[in-house]
Amino acid sequence: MEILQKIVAPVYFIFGGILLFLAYTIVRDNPRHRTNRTTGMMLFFAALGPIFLALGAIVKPIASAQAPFEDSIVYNLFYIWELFFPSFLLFSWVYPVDRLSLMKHRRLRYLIFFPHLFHLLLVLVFRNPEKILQFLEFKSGEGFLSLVLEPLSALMKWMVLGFSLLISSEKTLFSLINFIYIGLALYYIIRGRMLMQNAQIRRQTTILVGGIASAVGIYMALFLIPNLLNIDIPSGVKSGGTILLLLVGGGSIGWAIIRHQFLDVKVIFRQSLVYTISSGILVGLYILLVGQADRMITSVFGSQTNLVNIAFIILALILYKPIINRLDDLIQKIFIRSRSDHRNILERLSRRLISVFDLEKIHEMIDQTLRTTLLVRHVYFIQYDDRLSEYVLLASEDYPARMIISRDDRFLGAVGQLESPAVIDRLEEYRRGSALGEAMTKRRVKLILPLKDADHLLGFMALTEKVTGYGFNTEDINMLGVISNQLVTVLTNARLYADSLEKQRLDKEIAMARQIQLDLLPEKPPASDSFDLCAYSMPSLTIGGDFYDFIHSGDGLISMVIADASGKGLPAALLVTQIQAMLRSEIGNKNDLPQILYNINTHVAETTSSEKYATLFLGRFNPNTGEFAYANAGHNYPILVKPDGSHRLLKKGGMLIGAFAGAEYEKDTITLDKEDVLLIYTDGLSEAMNEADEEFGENRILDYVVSQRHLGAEEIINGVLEEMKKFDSSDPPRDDTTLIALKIKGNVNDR
Amino acid sequence: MNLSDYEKDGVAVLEPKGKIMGGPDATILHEKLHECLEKGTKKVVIDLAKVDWMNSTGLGILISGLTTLRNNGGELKLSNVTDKIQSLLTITKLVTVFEAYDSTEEAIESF
Repeated sequence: MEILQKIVAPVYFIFGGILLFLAYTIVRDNPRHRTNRTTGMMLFFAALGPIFLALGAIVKPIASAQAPFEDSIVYNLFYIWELFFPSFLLFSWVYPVDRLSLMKHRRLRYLIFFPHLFHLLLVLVFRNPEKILQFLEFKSGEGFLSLVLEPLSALMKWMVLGFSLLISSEKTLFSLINFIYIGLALYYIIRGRMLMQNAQIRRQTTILVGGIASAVGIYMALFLIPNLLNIDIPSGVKSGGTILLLLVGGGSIGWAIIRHQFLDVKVIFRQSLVYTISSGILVGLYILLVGQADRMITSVFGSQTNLVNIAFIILALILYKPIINRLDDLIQKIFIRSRSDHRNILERLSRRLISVFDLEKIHEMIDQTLRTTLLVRHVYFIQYDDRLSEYVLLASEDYPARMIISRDDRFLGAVGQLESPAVIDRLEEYRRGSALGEAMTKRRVKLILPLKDADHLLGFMALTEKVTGYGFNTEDINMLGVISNQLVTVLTNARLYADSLEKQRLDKEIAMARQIQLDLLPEKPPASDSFDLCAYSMPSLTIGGDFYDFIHSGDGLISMVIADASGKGLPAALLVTQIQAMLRSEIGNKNDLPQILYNINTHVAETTSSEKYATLFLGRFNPNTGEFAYANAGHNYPILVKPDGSHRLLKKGGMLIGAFAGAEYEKDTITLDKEDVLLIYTDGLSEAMNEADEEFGENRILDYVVSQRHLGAEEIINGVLEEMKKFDSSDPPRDDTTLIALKIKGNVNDR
Repeated sequence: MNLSDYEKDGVAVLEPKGKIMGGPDATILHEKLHECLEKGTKKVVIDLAKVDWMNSTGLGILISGLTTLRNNGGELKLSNVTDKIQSLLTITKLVTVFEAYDSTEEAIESF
């Protein structure tokens, strides 16, 4: 018990100091906000309680019988702290629900302080009524003046006597008043809590209300109820209880600020708060230890106290740094890594965003994060929609219809000029006459976060005010700036991802087109003992503009065709597919070669633009007679090599297909003999190019076929391709490459 | 491909330089021809002296240039055709539709 009495004063001082610091921090952080001011005031008066108690504990032992402690100014000023009760009631009118602005009787907020101010006056002035009575007696009995003064003096005497009566029962009376105030305040706070919708705010309120209510409850049990019922509580219990209630009350407010964004105090202030409180506790411990050690040493050695003090200071100096470091780590771990810390919000958000490509999920995540951590009421997204090629205000919970924004919207234009987050008031002049601006006004948007990449606006985020009614501080705006930058990256990634999906889909379709094209090529060239026929085709892209075909027309004749459409890829493939289909039907109709080419050319020229054309070589071979009729529509000249090494080029025909409607064609008929070699090819072969920009060329092909004319059709194709590869090793080839080789095996007369 | 041009005796002379291939080359040449037509110049000579190479798409560009002018009552002639392009024109039988001259002066005079 004795130890408790010894440490009571410093502990009270520390708690008082911490409460004062809390009050200061809260008001300093946002002096314009009513909740901050009210909470600050409440804490200030609450702090006076332990501070005066500490002063009292110091003064009491030195008070003498002539000037008892109960008469001293310190003792009576103690009652200032009772202003805590009206300020607590006022606090309950502001938090968690602001009732004050709705209240009709504006003076009520001042009137509630009146009873306690009166109480203060009472105890300061009327503690010793005898003195005042003496003073009043002295004045009476002085001629005319007394005529006026005497009734006044009598009145005063009666008043003083009345007050004295009050004084005798002041403790009971004001305990009752405080009791009522506390009851009212708790009622308002608990009712207010029930009205809160936001889970974060409810949690915050629970901690705050729980803490304050327990503190006040302890106070009632220790002081108010004993006062009312005239019960004596041992002073040791009182001191212990007071420390406990300060711990619970102050602690809950601190905890609510640090972990639950009570009053939306900036992170930096929250940190300093933690440091202050923990240093306070450390100092308290130090004082306690030194006091204890001092006493013990004194009792053993007499009076060598100085030495102990010096020893402790040295010890403290040595231990200071490591202890502070440990404390630092602990604080970081326990307090600052909270959900509401901006660095943690960013870290968590970016970790989650990085793996998401679904725009809807991204929006949901950001919406969720901003609403639970910054306590923003609503988040709206305005985004450029690639499919619509328009900016769109996306649907939200409260406005389920999306809105397409016209490109020349004034407000949108103004947002496009922004480089960083901006309060909407900065764009005031653009709001009028803009559909988007009006939508923003209707949604009570307060903050605009532009989403810009290097050169254009991807959209923006629009934030309403916070649920708490607090504005956005610089810390919030900095964080939101980082989030919007991150969002730009994520949106760009998401778009690239969508593009790559689109490309994959396209690739799949092209692969399908390629399959169709392959299916259109003859599976195997016609085979016979009398001739050897072979074909090869390799597109430079997955699908190409070359094709070849062999068509039996029923009369024993074999039509062979090779064609090369201008350009490459899908457009070229479409053109050759069209030509191939027409060829099959024309050959089926048994038309003559010039007529077939005339029909196809005119049709293609009339249905496609003139820069889309194809070159085509069409031959009709009679294996029985060796007769070979052909018409060349602007195609590379096929090479015919005779067994003796002489050769001719098959030039006869006409204009390339598809450029000029009405062009006429001619045919030529030759006879193929035993060991003759015919090579038909597209320009992919002749125009293959080496590193010196030299073409493979017709002459090299000719030389090869002449020198290798003894080989079979397949060997000739493989050989010429090998030669080409030596020249130009591009794989796939630069241009579509197609070859047909025909080798006559038997003599016509042998057949 | 780079394209420069000048006008002489009411004939527009276009001088492409480099390779005539697909893509932007087509657009550049088309726009130039339309520009000529808008100015009322219907006689055009394309000087191919500085064209080292032309692929099938490039040839398509020339064909479409020719059709565009003819459809508007104009004419496109070629000058300084290199051997390579000449053989291309021969194989494809385009020599029958394109008038080709050894020099730009001859081409201009031929109108």
